[in-house]
Amino acid sequence: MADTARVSQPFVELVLASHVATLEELPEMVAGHVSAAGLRHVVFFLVDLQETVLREVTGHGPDAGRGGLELRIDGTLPGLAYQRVDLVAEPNRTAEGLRRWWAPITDGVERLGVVRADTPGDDEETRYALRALSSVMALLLLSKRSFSDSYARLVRTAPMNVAAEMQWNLTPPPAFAGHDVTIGAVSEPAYEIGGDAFDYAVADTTLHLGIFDAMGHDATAGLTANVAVAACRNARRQGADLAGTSRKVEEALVGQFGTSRYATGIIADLDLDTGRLSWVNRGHHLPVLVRTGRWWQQLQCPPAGPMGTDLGLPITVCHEQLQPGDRIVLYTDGITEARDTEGREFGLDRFVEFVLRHHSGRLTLHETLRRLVHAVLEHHADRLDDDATVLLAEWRGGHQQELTP
Amino acid sequence: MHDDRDAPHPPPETHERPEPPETLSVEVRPLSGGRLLLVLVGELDHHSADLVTGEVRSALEAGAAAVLLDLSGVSFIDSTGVTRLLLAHRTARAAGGRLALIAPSGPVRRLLSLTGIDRVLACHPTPDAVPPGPGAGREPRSGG
Repeated sequence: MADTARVSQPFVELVLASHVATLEELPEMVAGHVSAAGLRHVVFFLVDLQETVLREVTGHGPDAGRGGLELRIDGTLPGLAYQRVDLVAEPNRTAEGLRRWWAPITDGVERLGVVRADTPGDDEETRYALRALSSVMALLLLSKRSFSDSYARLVRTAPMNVAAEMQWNLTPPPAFAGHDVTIGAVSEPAYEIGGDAFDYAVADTTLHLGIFDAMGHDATAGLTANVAVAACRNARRQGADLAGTSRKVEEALVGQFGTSRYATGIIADLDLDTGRLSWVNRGHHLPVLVRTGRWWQQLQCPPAGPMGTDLGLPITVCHEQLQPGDRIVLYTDGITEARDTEGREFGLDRFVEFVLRHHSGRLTLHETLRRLVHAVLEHHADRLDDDATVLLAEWRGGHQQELTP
Repeated sequence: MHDDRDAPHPPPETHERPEPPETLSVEVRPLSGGRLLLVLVGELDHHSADLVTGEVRSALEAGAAAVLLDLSGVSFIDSTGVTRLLLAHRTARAAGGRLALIAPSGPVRRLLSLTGIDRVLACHPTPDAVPPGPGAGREPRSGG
C-alpha cells in the first residue's frame, strides 16, 4: 500500500512556495521539492503550439529554454508518454541504477508537455508520485503561462503574425473535460491564422459551443473574428438565446465594419443532462454528428446568412437529440478543402473517416485531433492557404479517465 | 472559408509589391430593354472583385435598368467576391435598378447556397429567364 501522505507532502510544499515564482524559477524549485518524494533529476519540457516537439525548460534565457534539449513527439519515448497520456519507463536503468520515467504534464485535459524523473523503484508509490508530479506541474505551469513571455517564446517554432497573436488570446484552451463532456479543438496555420475562431463555455448544465470563420486572411480578419466572439460571449452572458446571440454578433459586425466584412458560424447549446443539441446556422459548413460505430451524418439547418451581411433572413433554431458517446464536430473549410500538390481536396469523407478510425482505437480525443491536423498539413505539404479549425465535443463518451496518466 | 489563394503575407512596405496577375475578365453586352449583361470569366476574389463593383456602378450610372451577371465562367469565388456581389445588389436597388445572377458555376452556387445568400440574390439559367420588372432578387427583411 502506497504511503500517499508521505509522498504528497513535498507537493503541497511545492505549491505553497510556487505562488511567488516565475516560470524561470520553476525548474530548480520543482527539483528541490520533489526529491523528498523519491523523484530525482526532474526535468520538464513544454510542447510547441503545433504539438510536434517538446522543449526543455532550463529557466535560462528569454525563452527559459537556453541550452535545453528539443525532442520530437513522433518516434521518441517522451513523445509516446505524451501521445498515450501514460507513464513510460526507459528500458535501461541509469548509470546510478535508477529507473528513468517520462510522464505527460496534464491537468487532466490539456497536455502541456512532459516531465522526466529518475526513481529508485517502480512500485505503486513511485507511480503515485509521478502522477502527482504530472498534475502539480500542469497547475504550476498554467498559473505562470498567462504572464510569461518566455513561455510564449519557448512554445513557438516560427514567427507569428498579428492576427494569430490575437487568435491565441481569443480562444479558450484547446482542451476541456467536465460534466461528462470532453472538448478538443485545433486551429491551423498556428502562426498565420486569419479569421478562424472557436469558443466554448459551460454555464450550469449548458455547454455553449461556437465556431466562426471571418472572411479574409489579414489582421482585419482577426479583428472581425475578435468582434464576433466577443459579441457572442457578451450576448449569451446577458441571457440572450441562440438566435438573439447571432443577431447581436451581426449588429456588432455591421456597427464596426458596415457590411464590408462578415463571419460565418455555428452557434450551439448542448444540454449536458439531456443531450439535446440546439443550434443556429449562420451560413457555415454544417456540423457533423459521429455516432459510435461507423455511422455519421451532416446535421441540417437552413442558413440565415453570414453575420455581418445584414440580409435579414429568418433565423431557425434546429435541434438534435444526442446519444451517449456521440461526437459533434464543428469545422471550417480549411480542413476539408486543403489541397495537395495535384489539387485534390482532403475532403469531408476523409476528415470524418479519420475521426472515426482513430477515435475508435485507444487514442484520446485530443491525440486524434493532433494527428488529424498533422495529416491535413501533410496533405497540403505543410502550407495551408486557408485557415483550418476543428472543434469536437464528445458527450458521455466514458473516456475521461483516459485523460490522465 | 473564403480566402485568398496567394500571398497571405504582404511583403514589407519598403518593397515594391508585385501586381497580382489578372484573374478575371469582364465582357459587357447590351441586351434589349435597357438591360446589360456582364460576362465574368475567371476568379472572383479579393484581387478582382472591385472590377465587378466598378462595372456594375458604371452600368447603373449609364442608365441600365437591370444588370445581369453571367457567372457560368467563374471558376473560383471567395468571401470578398461574395460581399461584392451583395454590394452590387444593394447598389442596383438603391439606384432603382436590379441585379440578377445568370447561370452561376458550381463553386459559386455552392458558396451562395451554403451561406444562404441564394435566398437574396436571384439566380436564373439564362438572361431570357429573368422576369421583367422589379421583384426578382427581393431582399427579405425580418423584424429582428
